[in-house]
Amino acid sequence: MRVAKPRRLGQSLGLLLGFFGVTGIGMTHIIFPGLHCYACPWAITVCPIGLAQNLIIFGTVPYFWIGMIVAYGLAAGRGFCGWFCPFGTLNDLLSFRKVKILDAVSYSKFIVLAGTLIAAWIFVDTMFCKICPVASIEASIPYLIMGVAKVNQPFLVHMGILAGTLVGMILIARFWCRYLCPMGALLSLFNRVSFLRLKLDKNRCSGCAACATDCPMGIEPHTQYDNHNCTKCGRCVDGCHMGALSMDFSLKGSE
Amino acid sequence: MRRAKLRQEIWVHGLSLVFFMVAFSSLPAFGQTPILEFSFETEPLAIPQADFASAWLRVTNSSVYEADDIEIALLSGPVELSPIEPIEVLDPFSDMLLEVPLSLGEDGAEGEGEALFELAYTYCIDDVCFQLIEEISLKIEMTPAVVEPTNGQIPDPVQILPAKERNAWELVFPMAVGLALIAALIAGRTFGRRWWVLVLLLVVLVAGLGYGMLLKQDQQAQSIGAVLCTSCVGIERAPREDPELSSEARTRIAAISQEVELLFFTATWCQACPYAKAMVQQVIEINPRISYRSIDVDEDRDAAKHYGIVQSGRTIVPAILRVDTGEVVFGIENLEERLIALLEESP
Ligand code: SF4
Ligand code: SF4
Ligand code: SF4
Repeated sequence: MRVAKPRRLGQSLGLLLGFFGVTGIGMTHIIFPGLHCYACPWAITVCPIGLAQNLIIFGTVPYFWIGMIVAYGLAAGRGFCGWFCPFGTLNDLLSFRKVKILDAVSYSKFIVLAGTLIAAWIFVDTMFCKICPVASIEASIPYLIMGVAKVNQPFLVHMGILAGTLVGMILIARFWCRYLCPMGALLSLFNRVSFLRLKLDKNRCSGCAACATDCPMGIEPHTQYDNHNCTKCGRCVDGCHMGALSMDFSLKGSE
Repeated sequence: MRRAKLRQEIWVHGLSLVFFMVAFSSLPAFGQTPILEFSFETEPLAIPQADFASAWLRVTNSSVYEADDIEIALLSGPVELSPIEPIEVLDPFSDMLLEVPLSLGEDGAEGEGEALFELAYTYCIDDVCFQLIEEISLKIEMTPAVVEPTNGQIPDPVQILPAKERNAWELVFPMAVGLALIAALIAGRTFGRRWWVLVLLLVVLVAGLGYGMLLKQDQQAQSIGAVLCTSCVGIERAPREDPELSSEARTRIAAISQEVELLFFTATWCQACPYAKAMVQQVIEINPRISYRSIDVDEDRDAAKHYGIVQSGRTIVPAILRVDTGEVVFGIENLEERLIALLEESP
């Protein structure tokens, strides 16, 4: 209960900021700390993965992009996945089957990320966006309703991908975030150094693994804390009867 | 257990290394960005009446690609340009001085003027070639005739001078930022959150954000987010081939008797726009009563706002607007049919 409440607030804030364009405010200079499509009619932020592809196409050395990503990574790492990203929130809502993560397979995110960048380079086009399930929800469907898009082949591809991802999410909790999200891959690089982190007091832990049954990412927090897949959602914190796990935000370096 | 941990570390380090190596090695230049810079070294250029003078144009190639067939042409101005051979090749990371021989007629007025030149060149990334056209102007001071006019005698056309030294900073800085980031991430994964890892990351953060904003990359990000090209997130497929109007469409277009003025909204990086533009061009060739003007939404955002190309805060390209009715056609899906409907409508 302790972490769940503020986290729901954070996720609501993510949704609110993600779709703040309803107010007519228009696009800002900010890069979103999660996977959230800039083509969404209500988005006021730029999608980091969409922007990265465009920068490769333009041949820009991405200083600003790197600066923003490092800022987010340093602040919370994948904490944004657990606390902010709207698509992560959708993943969260469908987290029924918290099966154990296949750690080796979870590196496939990096293959998606590398593939995204290489494809942008080779095809001089935003290839990932054409198969991005976030765009299915946030661009394809709204533009169909607005009458700009038609039901055509790319639309059907988007819907197919979305359906596949949704099924995956229902069968495996946070399926997209575990195995496929390129932004999750980027943020996970910072997981061990970020200010927001999960802490384990080994002396208190009884090894009951109650936390592991609660983890939507399928991690065993009591043996694998500091894991690159941890979204710092704090479910394990709330699930631990011994009070061995805690969320910690500190600017200091530590071991 | 330990071996498993080691294996995991190797995985993560290897992958992050590969990722950043790919990301950074792919940085210098892709896509249809200009790769050449042009500047006149002799500005203003003084030319006596009924005489000639040479302007020196520095051409700099700061990309990893070679530029081909660089040509210069005079668009307007009080002077004449003597024909010069195109430059066949300009190597990556090099520059040269091009002599531009200009002459002024006998009746050229005294005073100041401006000449406008067009520079065209191409470069290729594998099979994809781009032609770029840029304009540059040169201030000209027309002075009274000298005592012994050389009348029409023209100097040697092209002279290539040795390259100017490159600015090493442009390469060293991105590499330093990239290496610092890779080092910090690897160190962070290996040693955890040591204070020096945090300091290193903070340095990258400040350097990245600071220098990025100095280069106005935040505005660039905003403008990328604010314009939606219909093929980009896969609302439509961008065809690589040119459109082919059906014969029925041709007769219908030819039969349009009213004057129609179109505005074509495009962006340089829009993948679907060339197809739409090619179709509009075919249309105006068939029927001269139809005319169009092209507007780059990145350069002229106000026009897009003014004509309602902006929908829910997004400028959408390609968009074809008919000026008198204000009707708009977005995208390229089934464009032939929709474009003809737009043209046939009576105002
Ligand atoms: S399609 Fe996906 S990757 Fe592309 S901009 Fe949208 S959310 Fe980002
Ligand atoms: S992994 Fe991707 S989609 Fe999932 S929460 Fe993180 S950024 Fe969002
Ligand atoms: S380990 Fe804990 S904080 Fe991390 S994802 Fe699992 S439940 Fe959430």
